Amino acid sequence: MTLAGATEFETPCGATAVVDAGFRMLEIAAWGNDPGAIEMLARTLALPPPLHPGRATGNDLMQLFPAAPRRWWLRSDHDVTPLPDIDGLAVTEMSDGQVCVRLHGDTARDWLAQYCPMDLRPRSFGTGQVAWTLFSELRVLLHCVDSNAFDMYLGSSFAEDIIAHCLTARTRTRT
Amino acid sequence: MTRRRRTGSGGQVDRRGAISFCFDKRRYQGLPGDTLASALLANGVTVVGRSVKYHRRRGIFSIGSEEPNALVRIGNDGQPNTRATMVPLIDGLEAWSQNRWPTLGFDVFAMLGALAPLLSTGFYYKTFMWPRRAWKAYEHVIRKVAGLGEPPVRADPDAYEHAFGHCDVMVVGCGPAGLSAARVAADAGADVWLVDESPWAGGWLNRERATIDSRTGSEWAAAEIAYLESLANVRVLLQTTAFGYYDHNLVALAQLPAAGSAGRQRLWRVRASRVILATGAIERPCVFAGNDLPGVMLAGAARAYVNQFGVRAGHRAVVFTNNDSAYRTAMDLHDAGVTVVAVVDCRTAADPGVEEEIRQRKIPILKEHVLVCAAGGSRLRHVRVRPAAGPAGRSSRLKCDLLAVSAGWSPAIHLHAQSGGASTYDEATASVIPADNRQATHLAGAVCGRFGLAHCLDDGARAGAAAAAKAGFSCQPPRAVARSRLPGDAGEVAPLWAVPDSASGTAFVDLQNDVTGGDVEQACLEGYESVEHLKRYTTLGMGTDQGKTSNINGLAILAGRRGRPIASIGTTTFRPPYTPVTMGAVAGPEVRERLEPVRRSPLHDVHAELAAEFDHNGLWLRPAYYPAAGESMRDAVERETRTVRTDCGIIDVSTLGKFEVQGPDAARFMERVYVNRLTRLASGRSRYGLMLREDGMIFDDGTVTRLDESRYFLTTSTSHAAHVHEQLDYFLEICCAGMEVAVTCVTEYWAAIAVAGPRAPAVLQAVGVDCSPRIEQLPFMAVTTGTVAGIPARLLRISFSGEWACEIYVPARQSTHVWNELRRHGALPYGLEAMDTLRIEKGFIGVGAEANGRTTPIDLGFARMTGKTERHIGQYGLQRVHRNAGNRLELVGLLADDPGAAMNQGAQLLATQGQRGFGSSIGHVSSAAYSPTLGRHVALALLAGGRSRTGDSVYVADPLRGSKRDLRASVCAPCFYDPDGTRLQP
Amino acid sequence: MHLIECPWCGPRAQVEFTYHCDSEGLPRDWESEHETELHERMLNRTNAIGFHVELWNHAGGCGSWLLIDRHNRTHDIRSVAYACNGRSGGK
Repeated sequence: MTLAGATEFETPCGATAVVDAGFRMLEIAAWGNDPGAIEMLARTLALPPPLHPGRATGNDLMQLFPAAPRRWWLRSDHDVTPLPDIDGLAVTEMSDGQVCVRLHGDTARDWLAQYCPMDLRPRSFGTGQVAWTLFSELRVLLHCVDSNAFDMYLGSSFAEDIIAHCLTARTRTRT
Repeated sequence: MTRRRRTGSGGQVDRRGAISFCFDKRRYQGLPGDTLASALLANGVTVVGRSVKYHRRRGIFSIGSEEPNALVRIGNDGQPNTRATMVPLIDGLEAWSQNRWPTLGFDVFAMLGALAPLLSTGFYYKTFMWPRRAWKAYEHVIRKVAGLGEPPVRADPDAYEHAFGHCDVMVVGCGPAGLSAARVAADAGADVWLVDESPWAGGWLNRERATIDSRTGSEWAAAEIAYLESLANVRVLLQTTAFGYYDHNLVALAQLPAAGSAGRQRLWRVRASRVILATGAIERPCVFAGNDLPGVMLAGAARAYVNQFGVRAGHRAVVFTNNDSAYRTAMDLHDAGVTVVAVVDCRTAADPGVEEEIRQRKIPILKEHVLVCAAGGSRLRHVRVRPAAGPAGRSSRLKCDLLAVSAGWSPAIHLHAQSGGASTYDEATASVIPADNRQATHLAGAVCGRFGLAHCLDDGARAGAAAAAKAGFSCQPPRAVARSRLPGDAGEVAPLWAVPDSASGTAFVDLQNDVTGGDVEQACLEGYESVEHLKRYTTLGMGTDQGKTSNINGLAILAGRRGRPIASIGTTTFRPPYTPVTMGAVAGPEVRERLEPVRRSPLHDVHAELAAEFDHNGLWLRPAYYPAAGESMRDAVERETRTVRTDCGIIDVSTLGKFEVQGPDAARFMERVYVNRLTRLASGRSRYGLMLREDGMIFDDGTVTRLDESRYFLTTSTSHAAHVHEQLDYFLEICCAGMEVAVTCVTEYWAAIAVAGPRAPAVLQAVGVDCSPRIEQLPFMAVTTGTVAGIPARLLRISFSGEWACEIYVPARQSTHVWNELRRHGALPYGLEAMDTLRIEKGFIGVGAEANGRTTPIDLGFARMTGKTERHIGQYGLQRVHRNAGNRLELVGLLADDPGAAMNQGAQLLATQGQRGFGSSIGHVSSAAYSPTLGRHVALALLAGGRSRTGDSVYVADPLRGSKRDLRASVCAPCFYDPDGTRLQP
Repeated sequence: MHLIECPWCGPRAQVEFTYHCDSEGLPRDWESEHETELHERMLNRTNAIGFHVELWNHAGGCGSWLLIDRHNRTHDIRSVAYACNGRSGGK
């Protein structure tokens, strides 16, 4: 399957899915315990504080996902200028390895609940929150974009399988 | 049938509608709102199945999921053992009876009933043991006679799905207590799930003539459920069984699709902050002769069929009871036009209120009387009663076709017990009731042994408020509790488990398993005194109903026999599922091609266009070989192998695990992780590396490349990548705490193509490689960056084929262009099979084959890699293993005397020909291939003390694959091609 | 199925976690560990009924290494904490 740009289709539950492969993604890992490094990076990139675990922060250019201790993902739809070299941070290029599936619609949350064991109720996982979790058996990064839209980042090698089996499966019951 | 079974009015069926259905090929009519059971009763069908052991005729016994008798198969070759009481009737429904041959009316095996005295408990254990080998013959016949239903022949046509749920309060049971609890919790703002196994909300409110707040019970329930469904924070799931209560408040639900819809059965795993069990109680019968005849029914069921479905289960009824609730059966049957012959009550007095109701209806009450036996054939004809204290012989006959029996109510504590909750025997209700909870559970209503309707409503409200409060919601002061009325609902009973002197071969305790009171006594006599032993020896409480109506009677009889109080006997363990769940729902959608996720390389489409044959490698789909038109697998693999040896081949190795290790302590970390010495590895150089486990065995092999002072790039085997990641992570966190290192998995980012063969440098030049030094001058095991066909790339001079080779790493989405350019300039693709052949020719180890988790680097000939003094993973283990090494299996090569004879992976090695038996194996073939380069078969093997046997002969035995003669082969060094490695760096 | 309160992610289902080993199997100080200590912790464990501190990895979540104090019969969990020297802690 070739995923150039964004492919849009309707999912079995009625929500819309947009599969996007055209973005930059960087993984940033701190090798020390210095919490200052990432804050310095965020300041340099003009990302609005605070950096709060499990909550995305972003501006027009990019989004920073603090979804694991001392590890962040930085997504941008534009070409980010070379990141400032900050001591203590390992920056790794991930763009080609990730696909983003955006699900939106009233049923998006229920559909995700067929595959994700985590509590997705707005109270526990509301707008702006990000989390690593399981989708089917696959570890994915989930980002609640707004009340009924989710971005799901998954490894490119799994994308075709997930799309074939979960996003375009036959009609399912709705509750 | 002269008189109508269906009443003229009443109940919750739609009398304007009509539904046609089939039972055992005969066509019947039912009404919307019926279950299959109520529709069968309405049509006067009394016999619905044959019993499991004696093939006795059985009728509908209950109204719910506790049904032991009415098990049917839905659809031809459909799901067996479906309880007719739980199937909502839909147009065109086809149901079939079970356990009969050839027909329900005439069953060949019914003669077994006459043999009952011979078929005593433990019959199979005792009879079919000798001679032991004849069991196979017995089994064939026994399987036809015994067993419940038949499994379908075809694959399951239904589809299933799984889902996860989360809520604050889960209410199990939609009766008065559950509805009342759900309302209070929902009004407090909690997320409430309300589930019930029945298709209709209301539970017993639909089945009794109760009033709540001057409405009928079913109207009240309908209004409550409508209100709850209107709330955004409430989810009501009907036809949904909470079948398991697991650790940490996880409740498993099996949700059936709406009857007749094309929906799927769904298995939910719901995590609830609090769980309210309002699971009610199950009525139990009494043990007396003939208590299994069609027409003998639980008293509650008899009135429920009248009240909910407008169905008279008989025309002349006798009610036999030890408690007040059955008086309602007499009242409701009478009012629906059934002649109630008598109420037989073993007690001296009943509640004056219900007694008065019966007297007003001029129904005789036989107090202090018991029922001695029921008689009949395909339907009940009469019963015999006698004074409870009177002599055994004297009894009088009452003609009837329906016997409604109640020996009290057993709280449905199954889920409570599954959750780890304790239980205790309660004398007042003669039942096992819940004691302490173990999880965040609340109990409400009849499940607690408090049976009154007012109690249930009260209890529910209290539990709802408590659960909501515990879940963090402040509750409004409870609503004024509804005023309700249901006569005779106090719940006290005078224990009566079995009618004395009525025990005979037909006084059944467990209807589903044909276990009689006599069987229980005999088992006890033979020493099976514990309840768990009793269950296993007699099968009491097994089967699809798991003894819902029978367990307590069995316990009481056992207790009586042992002369001990029931409380001291205990119960059998309550295990999920509460009711049977079809395996398809448990398996869910992740079956067949979805069993595991499938990973595809970024070059997958290119391989598919080249008509590659794919193989699974770990989770990945990888090309095994690329057959040309008309080419066999062997021809293709030989051609591909020769291409690499003589020309230029390319293989997609994107599936390798890839990691970047960064940080000031990266070098120290690498030194600890790998067995080899890496400190002197210069920037821009690579090394083949082995990772060990702490016990000294090889964990994985791959390459380590130093990109700069504090940055490494690792590759691992495809199948082990996830494990290696976890191991690196574990080691960094637990064993190297304080090191400043970050490990990042970059498997998905990089595509990788290995270009191998004597013509590879030329092909690369033609494609256009811009790097320094020039690619053909890049030394073996060196790394550089540059561009290939204009794409930024990392180039690694490394070889797993033994030829000049280079691995090109490019960003995944740009790999197709590079691959196509290589192809355009003459490189030919090769797959896993050729790669394996090339590896075996060179004697390179394979993870899983030679590095099989039980071999050390020294075993496999890497002794020179080991021995560094710095502490590294596996150091002590390796020392320990080789301190007392003995005769370890060592890697060798094997050449059969007959070059055309194939040796198979897994074949055993013997010192002398024809040896067999334990201890004769001195090793095994670990990898084998036909080598087109050498024109003969070659193999790698793990041989005890192998290196010292070079030049010896061994025998290769492969009896499991049918080889008759052991092959003679000579032991050689494990490298068959270019042992000096001159081709790697010409 | 357990519910495990990950200090980073909050309560998550057990399927997201991988059991690694009992804390008896962990090195006290890996670098200076003696050979006999390694073999003791690897091979001689008590496995008594009761509460055990165990090493788990939130592999299907944030990736944290956690020490979970868990009863091996009742499955009660008393505490969950980041595993080693606070390495997994912090933002």
